[in-house]
Amino acid sequence: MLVGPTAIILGLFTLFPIVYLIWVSLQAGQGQKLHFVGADNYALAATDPTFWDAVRVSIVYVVATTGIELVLGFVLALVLSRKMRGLGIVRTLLIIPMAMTPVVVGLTWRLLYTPPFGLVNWSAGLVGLDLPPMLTDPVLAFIAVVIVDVWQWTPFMMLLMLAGLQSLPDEPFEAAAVDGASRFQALRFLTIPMLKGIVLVALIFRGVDAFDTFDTIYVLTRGGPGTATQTLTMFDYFQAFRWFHFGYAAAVAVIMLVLLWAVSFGAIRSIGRQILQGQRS
Amino acid sequence: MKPRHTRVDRLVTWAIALGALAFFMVPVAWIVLTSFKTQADVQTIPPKLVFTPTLDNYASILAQKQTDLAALAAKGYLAYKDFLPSYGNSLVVALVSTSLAVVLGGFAAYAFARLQFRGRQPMMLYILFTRMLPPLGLLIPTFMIYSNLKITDSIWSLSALYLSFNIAVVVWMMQGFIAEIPVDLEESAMVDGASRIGAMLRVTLPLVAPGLAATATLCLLLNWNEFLFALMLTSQHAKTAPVGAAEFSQSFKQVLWGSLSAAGVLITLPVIVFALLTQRHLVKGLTAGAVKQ
Repeated sequence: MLVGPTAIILGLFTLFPIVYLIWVSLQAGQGQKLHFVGADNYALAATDPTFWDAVRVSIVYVVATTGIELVLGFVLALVLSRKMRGLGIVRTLLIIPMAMTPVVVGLTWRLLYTPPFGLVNWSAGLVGLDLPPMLTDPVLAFIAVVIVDVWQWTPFMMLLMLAGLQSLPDEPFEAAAVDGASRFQALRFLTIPMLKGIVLVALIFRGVDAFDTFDTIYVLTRGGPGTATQTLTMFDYFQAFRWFHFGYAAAVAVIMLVLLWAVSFGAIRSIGRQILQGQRS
Repeated sequence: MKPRHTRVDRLVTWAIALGALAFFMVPVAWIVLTSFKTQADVQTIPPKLVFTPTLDNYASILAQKQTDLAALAAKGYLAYKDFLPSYGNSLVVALVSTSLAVVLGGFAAYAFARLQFRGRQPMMLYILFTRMLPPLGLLIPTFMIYSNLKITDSIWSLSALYLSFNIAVVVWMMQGFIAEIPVDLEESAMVDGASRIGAMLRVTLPLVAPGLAATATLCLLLNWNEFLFALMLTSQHAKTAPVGAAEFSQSFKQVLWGSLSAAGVLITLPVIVFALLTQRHLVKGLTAGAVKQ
């Protein structure tokens, strides 16, 4: 009785659409006029170079953003977790980027990237760097969308790392200090190993969300120039809603779903093991 | 142990803190500044920090009267259509789906945390699975179903969809929070004659209130900021504020940065104020599940 409404809503709005998605992925045609073709769409994806290009862009995007965010977030958490006056305000202000509406974040950065009056190109000019327009150069456009992701989500990594740091016990650090360990040694042999579990969780959370990124890329580059920033999500969006290849788009979505599920399932199992080991020791 | 900081420590700490502050705050400050600039001031080289502020950008997106619009158009401010209606839509959709999700999902979370029933385990796994669902995987079938049923472009069908997103979040987070409350408290209330529901509402609910606030905050934020589904499932009547802003940025040959920034400020202001006010809850909500369970 308590679970009923939730079960019905989840059934109607997620389970039924997923089943329908799989059914659509076995069909082809224009728009909603579809006929059954079996696994043809999957075979098409396997041999479609633009699909593989999008896979490559997605992988580089996910690895670059989550990697940079993890390192920056960890450093910021270490620095901002110190007990000094004034740092609390800095921690609070850093929440702003991740609360901001992603579309507005994208538009704000588009203004910053717009030459010649955008702040990015102008300040590069100050130090003698003559940047081409960021969003029309393939390499720079990719860097530009990565920077926006890093800007918005590094604070999230920082918060997770802060929470992790605060959950660490004091005793090992006191013992290490008594034994004359340097701060670097405490960091290398105590803090980092003990944070492993939460780092893994953070990487999955951010990795999945980075893979799903749509809003900022849509507003900044629409996957362009060419296919320089066309991630799998953007590619699939175009297949469905620009070309109306619903069958093919559905098949690509199923592939993404299986991929995400497999990766996160594997990662969750290894975290489960980590947490169990942590509890035992 | 009392931490002691040397002068070098302080210097390094503050150098990094201020560097981070600059990187993360300059874009925010810049869009606020731009929202008070005329189109001419937006495009100067070098970019202007000091200028005569104007409220025309805000007026141009909020103006309702034809005479005001005409006066602004004469100054080069082109109309930002439907800003207020889209803002209202966002508000209704966010509030309706969050409040329904908290109530319905809250009850379900209670059942998941306290009762043993058939299908409990598979349903929890399924909810975790939906967290990993790629958005297009849900958007494509939903778009086709909504179009066939002719229920696109309605704030109610959009709210129903957001409700289903939120309910998974609520169940997942709340069952964790409820499980942390000792069951003995409810049992002793029931020994004293309270019903199961009475014990739940009078004993457990007040204790999980902070967790509930964290969950509701997170849902509100997610709904207010959502873009992809709103973009594809609404057009005229049910357009939400982010969709309106993205549309406006493409409406004219030249982007009207002043008006667009003003809209951006108005769209993000409530979420930022809200996020800062409920900071503690929000951080708890975002990190729940990641740190110890």
